[in-house]
Amino acid sequence: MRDLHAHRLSKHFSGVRVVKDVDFSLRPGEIIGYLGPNGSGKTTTTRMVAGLLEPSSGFVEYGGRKVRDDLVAFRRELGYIPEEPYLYPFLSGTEYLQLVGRLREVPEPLLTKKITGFLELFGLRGAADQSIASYSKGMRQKIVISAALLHDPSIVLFDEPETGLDVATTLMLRHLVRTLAARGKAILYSSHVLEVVERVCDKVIVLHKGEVVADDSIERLRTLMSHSSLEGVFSQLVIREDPEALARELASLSALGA
Amino acid sequence: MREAWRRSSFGLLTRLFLRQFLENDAISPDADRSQLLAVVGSLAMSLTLFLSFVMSAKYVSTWTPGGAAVASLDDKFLYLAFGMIVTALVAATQWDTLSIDPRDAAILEPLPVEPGLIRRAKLAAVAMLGGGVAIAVNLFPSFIFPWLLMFGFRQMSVAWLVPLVAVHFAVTVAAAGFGYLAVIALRETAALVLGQRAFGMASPWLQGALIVVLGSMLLLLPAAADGIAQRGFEDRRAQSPPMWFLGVYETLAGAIIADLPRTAMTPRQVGMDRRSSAIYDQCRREFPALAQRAVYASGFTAVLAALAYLLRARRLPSLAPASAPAYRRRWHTGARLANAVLVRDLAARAGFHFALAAMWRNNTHRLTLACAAAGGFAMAVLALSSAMPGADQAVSVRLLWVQPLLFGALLVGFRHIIRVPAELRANWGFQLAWGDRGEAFLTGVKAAAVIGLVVPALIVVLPLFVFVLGAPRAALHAVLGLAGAIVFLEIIIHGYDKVPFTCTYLPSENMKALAPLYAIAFVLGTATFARLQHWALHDGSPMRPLLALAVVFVVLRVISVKRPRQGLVDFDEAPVPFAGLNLSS
Repeated sequence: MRDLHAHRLSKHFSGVRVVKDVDFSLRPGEIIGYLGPNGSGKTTTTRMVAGLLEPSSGFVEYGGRKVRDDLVAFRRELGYIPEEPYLYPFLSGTEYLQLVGRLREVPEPLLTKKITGFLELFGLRGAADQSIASYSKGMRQKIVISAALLHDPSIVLFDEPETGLDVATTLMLRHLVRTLAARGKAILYSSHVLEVVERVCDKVIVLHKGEVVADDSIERLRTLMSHSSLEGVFSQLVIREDPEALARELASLSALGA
Repeated sequence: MREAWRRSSFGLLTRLFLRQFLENDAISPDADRSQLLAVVGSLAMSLTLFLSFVMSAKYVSTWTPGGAAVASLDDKFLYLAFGMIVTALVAATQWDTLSIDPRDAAILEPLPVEPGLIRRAKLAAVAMLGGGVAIAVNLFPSFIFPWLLMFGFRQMSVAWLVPLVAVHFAVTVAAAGFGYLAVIALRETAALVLGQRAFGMASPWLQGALIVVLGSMLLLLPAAADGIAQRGFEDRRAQSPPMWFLGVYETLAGAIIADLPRTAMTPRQVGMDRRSSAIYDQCRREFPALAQRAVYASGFTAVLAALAYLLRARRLPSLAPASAPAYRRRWHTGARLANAVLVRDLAARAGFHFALAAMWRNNTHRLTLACAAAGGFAMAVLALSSAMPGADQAVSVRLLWVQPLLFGALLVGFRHIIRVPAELRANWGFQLAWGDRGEAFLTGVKAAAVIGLVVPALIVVLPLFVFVLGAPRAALHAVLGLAGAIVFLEIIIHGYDKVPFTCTYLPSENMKALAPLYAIAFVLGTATFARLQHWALHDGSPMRPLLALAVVFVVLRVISVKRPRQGLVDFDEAPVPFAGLNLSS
């Protein structure tokens, strides 16, 4: 088990800065919550850490080596759950997991056992042979989570994994994240569901307009910012407008002309 | 008025459904729709303009009325059949968008729009597409062909051009409409009879088969439209729909040319005209019956299409998830067998199963393969039609062209589809799981091509060869064909460094220059291979050609394995954002 370090990660798209100088370290057994409002750069950062996006500047190190020097080796240790569960619609759930497992060279008997287990635990046994095109978003998300865990990764990146999941699965996911960490996995948990992050994560990084505005343990942030909840800390850090006033304006706009 | 239509719910929905015809899986999501429409439209028009000039140029020289009447039958048949097949092909490629999609229903139903309005708008869009294509294909020939046809006859006044143009336009557009309606009738009747679930399973295969048949017919059209009058009306071609519409054409306007006053002809021309007129008069007796058949068939097809369409459209489709199709369950047994025998390596297994699923279940890839199969079948039929047994009952070399032509066309189609991502947005899964086993993965993909394309094609043509060659020689021919296909696949995929069905596809800039060379190499290779097989079958010693193929295969494999591969696969290779003209250098 090795540490993962992100060094001054920045990303520009067509000259527009999306992420600027993001630094963090992730140790085995640690769960870092990666928080930020929509468009703050959370997904861009996780994609850079996963090696799916090349940083404009900065780099990611794993075990003291830059991950882009040997992406294949790094990805063998990596599990990634993206925000949008894009999958091959013409494959069935089982076929997709078989494809990923075989590409990751999980031995066939073990792979079959794992796939059966994941589908059973996620309640997808009945839909296992249906094409993914007929799956709901939550079902696809469950397939993505299964695919990310098939090869027993050392680092798991969750990018808003609770999207589309039902209450029971969301609760199960929280326990899963904690259990994985207890087994020594390093976890980056990107989300904007503050309650989940508060319950699951050891420390949080708060991102606003592509820049890190806070990086500490939840307890310390609460103390430092004199708030009893993470929601209060988050509001103070990134919410510039009064949400109530904004809601009133939206309602008025909707009623315009009525 | 036009603005009011555009802003009405009906106008908005109709335009939405018209746009959907341009937004299917076969077109890149980033493509400029207006540009695409302009390119396709202008291509269709310029092509028909060019072809009608080339085809009709012969009428500018001196013709007798009887000679022109007989010769023009071939051209009229070609125009009628061409329009009919093209509109049918358009309907076949737009297969799933011809009726209201469950996704459309899910989006539109919650809106305060009457379901009847949605149905009418869809129907209007479908009618506009069919009408638009029928007119685009037949517009220019409707002016050029009659004009050049009457060009050499000074006894004809310009006033005769009007009925000729009107009849040509009306009959060719009607024939094209018949082709379009026939596909709609077929689809909607099949959907009605089979029910939603069974039709969901059968639909892709029906669409693919239809494209293969129509594509083959299109490629065989020039050969079929030769000597219409001379061959008479007894053969199967005479029973084909284009002949029915030729009957309508000739009943309405055939006499304009055939019965022209005979003026200023040399004695030789008089003799030729008499012979041609006699042939035409024989045909003329058949035209009313053919015309009647066209009217009945059109009426029946229109009623069937309308009834089936309206019956199916009574209820908007729902997005209910489908249960596992039975073939998937049966596939498990086949998959286990393939894993045990054919693809034992894990990466090869991944490639094999993914390639099989992508090529048969992905709409774009299936359509491409159907087009390739259509090309292969058309070439095979042409080769077969010219294959005559020799004096000593020896096998004709042309007969042996059939198998390599068919396999070759399918494998060329396969070579194309592996470059096109099956689902671009899903390739992140590959990027994360991709190791350094590219060669093994590709081996699995190649095995999928052999099992999924070559073997089924072999099974299709085998009965023909058993019938012609006898079982032992047919088996030998099949083995040689299979070996040849494996080597050909190795050649065309040699040097492919990307991940099949996954990486972005950038078309090669020099393809326009290389395509004719590839085509020539393909024909020469097929001819050489057919000769090699002929020699082996004649000689009864297949070992030498098999050994030669094995040597080529091994050499290619060794080169392939030893070739340095690029380290990291670029899954999202983007086009160069600008092209430098280097004018200053």
